[in-house]
Amino acid sequence: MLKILDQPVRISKPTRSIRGDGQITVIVPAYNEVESIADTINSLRHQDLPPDRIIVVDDCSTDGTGELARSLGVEVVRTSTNTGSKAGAQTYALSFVDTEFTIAIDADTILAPDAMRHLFTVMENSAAAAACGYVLPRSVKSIWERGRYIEYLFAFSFFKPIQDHFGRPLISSGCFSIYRTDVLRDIGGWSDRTMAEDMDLTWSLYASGRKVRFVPSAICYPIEPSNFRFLKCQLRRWSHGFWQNLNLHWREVLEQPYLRSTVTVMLWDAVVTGVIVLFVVPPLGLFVNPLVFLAYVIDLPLIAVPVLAEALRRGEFMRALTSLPAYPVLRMVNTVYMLKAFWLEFVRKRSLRVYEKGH
Amino acid sequence: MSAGLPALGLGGVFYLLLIIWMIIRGCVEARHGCVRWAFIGRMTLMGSIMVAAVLGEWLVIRKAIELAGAYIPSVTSAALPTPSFSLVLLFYSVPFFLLALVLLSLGILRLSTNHERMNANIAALEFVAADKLQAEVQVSTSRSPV
Repeated sequence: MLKILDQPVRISKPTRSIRGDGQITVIVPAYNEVESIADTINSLRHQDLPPDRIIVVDDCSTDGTGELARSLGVEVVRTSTNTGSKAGAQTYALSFVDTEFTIAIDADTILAPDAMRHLFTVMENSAAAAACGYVLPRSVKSIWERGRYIEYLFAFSFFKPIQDHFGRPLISSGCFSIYRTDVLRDIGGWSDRTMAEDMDLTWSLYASGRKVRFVPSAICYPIEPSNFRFLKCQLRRWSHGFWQNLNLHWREVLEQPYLRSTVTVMLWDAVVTGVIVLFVVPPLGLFVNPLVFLAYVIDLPLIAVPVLAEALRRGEFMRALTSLPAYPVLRMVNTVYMLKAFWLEFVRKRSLRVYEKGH
Repeated sequence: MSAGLPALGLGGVFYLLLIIWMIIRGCVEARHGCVRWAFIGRMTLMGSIMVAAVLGEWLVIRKAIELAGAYIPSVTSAALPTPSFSLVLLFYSVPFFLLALVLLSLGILRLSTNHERMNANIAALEFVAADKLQAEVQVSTSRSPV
């Protein structure tokens, strides 16, 4: 983290402090985040465009997260009972916000020193209701972190810029996004009716005719699951969240140009290609031709092009090259969880309602 | 979060086609600035290299099978029979065909929901009109001389 903070700040226009202008409040929902909250707060303080207010929502932590945040000099609000979800904690804090813009950031996420300025500039110069940044794992060591690193490099340097070009980023990532506070209040804040509150909010914004932007220069670094136990919780939440949002918003999504096609293609790849990968390829490989197993890795060169190009630009070429083999492994796990969630949500009608923390 | 085979699944084809659509849209609308065109150029270059990477990989695999076949004759016939041009063309056209089919289904679904919504709107309008008519009748009845 210190390495990131020590990086020279690339400033494309004179640094301007808006402190006191009453424009930006940062909401940090936190439940038992004592190990990471200090880094998040320090990272917010080291922004070249610092926020006016930082509100940490202590969602009835039992590890002293609230006390630690208070000792670091930020505002801490404590919910009367545990809200049970990140969305609940964020919406609770929304009533304390009195600035034009609200930034939501996870308590395990740190920012590049110029990240907030990049997001703010886009919001100031456009009619967008929300904007999100570029996400990269803070640590890239375990196989799961390496797989996620490739997944993010691929998504944020290839998929997301194209989605943004057509004015419909699939999702404004919950770990670091900026919103117009009045719009956020109109929508009713973050809803806990699904496990993916960020997707729910993004699609609600589109349904109400608002715009969302992706800002690749605003980079954030969340902690990604380093072991399978945490990864499992995260994937359960994300996969169930996707199907719950689809169930909730499908009529509105149908009316959104480009978004409807993006979601449909994603749905196809999750279900049909998922079934092929898990149930068709193995018997074909075993009983017909072993070369069929190449299907699991055959697209790696295709993925490698945007990934390595972006890694080269960031000076992380070797890290990306050595992480590439981890991606098919993570993708297989993703596929299993997406299909399982589909089965539970739509066939068994057993919707996931308990928010399991998993970074 | 990716599931299935996003690159060789429909996702890869879909996004590559979107890049082509970007160029067409940019030319037709002719209102893009330098920044937008630079972005389109960058994505086009990236898309082209991605396609070249897939074709290159295909050639490498074929060459590898041929080389293996030179030493172990059973490998070539067991691995992949030399595909005809039409078979290769069919192989590459399948994702495009599927994507067209999926997007067509999406269009039909959209039309049917629009139709449902239109029917619901008509029913609501008829209900309001009937309600208004009834109110007018009541008013005229109450005004009628005794």
